[in-house]
Amino acid sequence: MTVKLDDSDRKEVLRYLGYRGSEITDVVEEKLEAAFNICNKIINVRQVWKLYSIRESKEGITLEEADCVLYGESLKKLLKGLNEAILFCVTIGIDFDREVEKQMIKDPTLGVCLNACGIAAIEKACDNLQLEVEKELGKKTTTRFSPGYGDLPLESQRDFIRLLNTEKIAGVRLNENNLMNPLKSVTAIAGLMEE
Amino acid sequence: MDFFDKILILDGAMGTELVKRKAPMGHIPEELNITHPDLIKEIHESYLKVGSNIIYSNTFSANAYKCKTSKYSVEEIVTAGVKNAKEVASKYGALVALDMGTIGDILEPFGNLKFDSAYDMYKEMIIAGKNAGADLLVFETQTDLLEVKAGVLAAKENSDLPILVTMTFEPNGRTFNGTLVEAMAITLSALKVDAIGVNCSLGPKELLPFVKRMREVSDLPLIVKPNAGLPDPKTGGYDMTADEFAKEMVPFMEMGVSMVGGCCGTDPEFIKALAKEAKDYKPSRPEKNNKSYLSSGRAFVDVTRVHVVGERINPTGKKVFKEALLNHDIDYVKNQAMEQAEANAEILDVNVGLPKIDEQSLMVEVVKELQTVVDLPLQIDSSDANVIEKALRIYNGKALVNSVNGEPEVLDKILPIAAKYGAAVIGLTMDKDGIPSEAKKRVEIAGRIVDRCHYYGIETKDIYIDCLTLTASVQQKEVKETLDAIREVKARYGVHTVLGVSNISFGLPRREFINTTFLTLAMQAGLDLPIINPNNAAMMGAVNAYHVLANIDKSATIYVERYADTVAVKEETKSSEASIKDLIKKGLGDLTARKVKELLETKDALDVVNEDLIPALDEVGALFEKGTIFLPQLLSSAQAAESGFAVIKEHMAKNNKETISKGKIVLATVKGDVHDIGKNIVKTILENYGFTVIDLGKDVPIERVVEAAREHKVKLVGLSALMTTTVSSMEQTIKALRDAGLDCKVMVGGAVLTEEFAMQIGADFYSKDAKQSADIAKMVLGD
Repeated sequence: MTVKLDDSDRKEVLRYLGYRGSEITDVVEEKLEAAFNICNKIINVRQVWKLYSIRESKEGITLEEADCVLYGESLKKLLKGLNEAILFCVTIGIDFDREVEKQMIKDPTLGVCLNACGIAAIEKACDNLQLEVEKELGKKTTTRFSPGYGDLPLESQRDFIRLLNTEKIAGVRLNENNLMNPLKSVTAIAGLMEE
Repeated sequence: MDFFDKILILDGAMGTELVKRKAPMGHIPEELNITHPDLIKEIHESYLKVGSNIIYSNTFSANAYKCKTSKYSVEEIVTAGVKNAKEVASKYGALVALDMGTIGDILEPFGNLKFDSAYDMYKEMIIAGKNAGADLLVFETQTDLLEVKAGVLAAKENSDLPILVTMTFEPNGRTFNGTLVEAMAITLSALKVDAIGVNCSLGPKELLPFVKRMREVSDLPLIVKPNAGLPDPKTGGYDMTADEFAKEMVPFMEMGVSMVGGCCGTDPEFIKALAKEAKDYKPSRPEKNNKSYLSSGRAFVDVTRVHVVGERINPTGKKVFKEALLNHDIDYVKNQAMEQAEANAEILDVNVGLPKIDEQSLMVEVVKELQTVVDLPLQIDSSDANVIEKALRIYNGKALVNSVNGEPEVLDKILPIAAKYGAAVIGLTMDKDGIPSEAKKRVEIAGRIVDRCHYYGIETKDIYIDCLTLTASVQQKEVKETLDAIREVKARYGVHTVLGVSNISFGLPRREFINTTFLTLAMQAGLDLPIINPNNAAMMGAVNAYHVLANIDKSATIYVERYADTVAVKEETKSSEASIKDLIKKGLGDLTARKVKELLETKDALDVVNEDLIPALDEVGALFEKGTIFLPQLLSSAQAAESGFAVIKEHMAKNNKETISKGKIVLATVKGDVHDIGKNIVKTILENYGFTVIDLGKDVPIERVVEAAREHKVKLVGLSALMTTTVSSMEQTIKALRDAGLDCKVMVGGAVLTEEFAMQIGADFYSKDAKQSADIAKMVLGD
């Protein structure tokens, strides 16, 4: 599966750049266009997802098949009354990180535009994955929720990475501070709702 | 062990078999070595029964990083794993390979894992495995060639066991991390491992082209351990049958690979079918490959025509470059590298030697950092053996060492290092008596170098002789000697040649005429690697033209691609009527630069800065603050101003004036944090306000910040952190600066910080964006 940014994503990209409606100079227009093109050329989307039965417990949400608890009240609230959820991981790949690194030195304007495109792309890829899952399972998904959101501890990132075997399937690894590499990667849980 | 003797059958999947047996999965499946040894032995035996000659111990994840939460130590898990395997393997006369997967953490500079830590973690496994009786070492499912290199060095320096390496490639012929098939094969051949190959990710059919590409560039025995086809995206299962798998493995055996087995989704049935097919085949020993290869982790050069070595990363005679090194401006060096890569250099010379500088640590840092922005192989240029060794150790690829000469002491010091790390070597045809004027003497020295290289195991193809350029204005009749020597060393020794070209024209006007002509003569004489400035269009033109005229660039394809639609001289476009302020607001860098040039004809440089450039930046900053313009506009204006400042700097350097700096600021993204985009934005803005930024990069150890603040006597330190988790290391860094008694202010910024939070952790200033950081700098350091 691949993701392409198009005109419909422009608004989102501008939002990440803090745009508040002023006139955009020709130079910045050019950079934005270049950033879209580079982004579409170099992203390499990899993804993995798994379905789990879930149960609310005192400390949080238990993933039955994995015998693993994701802690916190916020996740309980999101998944209230649901019996199933998917865990997933999506990345747009390491080449994107390299390109941002390069551009931040060569042309920081292009660099920040590209970085914003990367955020839009990874979000779009997550949306697509959820749509795919919905189609396949015939159920709607809730909003996605990631480690570090609300009171779901960032440490739970370790569980996501391990359970989804992301290193092997998507090339996503964690550093000792639970930050992902490639940088533009998302792990999340989303509940499944009966239609 | 001769891996060309007969095809050795490896085993199939371990994980798949554990799942089949519903084995309890704790933190890591390797704990089963201790808790359920019989289960593990049963799986090993199921492969031995069907003909595996080598089985892999159940130790894939048994490294310190992945075992962190286990109640067993690495040594316990590895020892148990190898012993289980040995116990059953010995009954079948089979061998046991200590299996090592990836560490799981990310190596610098993209991650925080130090090369030496990766080395130590593999070392721990290797020593335990060796002591438990492992017969071989295997690194598998690897994705980062540099991590593999750490492992291979750990293996070589701590055992004598044969080393096998297989990496995991995506359909595009790269690993997730970007390692290219050929780069892996070239680098590991240079490191003299015992066999290389592929495992996991894809089925046999998909992996075949990659293994063929490995054979193209490497003489090593090959290993193939594919998955049972491609996984079903829905179930994650594999649907290939054992017989189908074995049939698809036949092309590998026909091409002569040495070891075959299976990865995910393969079971004893697969191995049984495979062993049956393998009976009819034998590995083939490839013919000696006489090409010299140089590689990074992502690209390679096979030296078959003229390849340009970019000479720009070298402080000699370059004021700005020297200053950049002294200020630790690694981005400047990276920019030089990117520019040369864009100008079609194919190899980059890297020299960072300067008096009063720690060449060793700087070289290591530059080599590491350059590899994040360019794919080109590097040429490590230093006269210090320790610098060379440190750089070669952490270099991801097969490098070229610049250089040795005919002096025995130099040869005996540097050649063993080059040989150990599998680097190619440049040999200068000179000795303690200097450069001989006659070609004959230079050829003799080359002969001594070649002999010594052979003695240390460096092959002829990896020797690059530099016959040395003399200056035509001083030693005109010796120009011919250099050219004769090139011809002769190639004919006599079969080596490659390299030559720094531009020295030829010192002291003469219009040096380009002399340089291009000499370069052309040298190429005709057999020069392989000219060391030149690739940004010089005439020199690059000579190389490209030579390739056409020597019938190397067939149908002039590359020449036409590069030069069709280009014009010889760019016409100066007319200068704009707009003011500097407008030009900067619009982000028009070229026009700003031209305008500044015009102004300098009538105005003092400092006045241009204070009356034109800075007020323009101030205005843009104010607009940004009000929200009238957004970040890309602020940055494009800063970049436009930067073009203006560059003209000023050049002008002042020409007139021998000190460059203007409003003071130095240390910037760092704190320890543990790898998100540095915000810090980089701040850097761009600060520099354009005339401050000198000492950029320490990301994930910066606390001591490093303190050291830099002390060394550069800065009055202001800027720290950034993106994550809540790393704000604590920000706090510790501030505390360390205070404890060191340094008289400097600290400003902090980052997504999770607030004014209140910033004060709480002891900062002097909270900077909400790049503009504000410039305001703070002005306040602390003065306008």
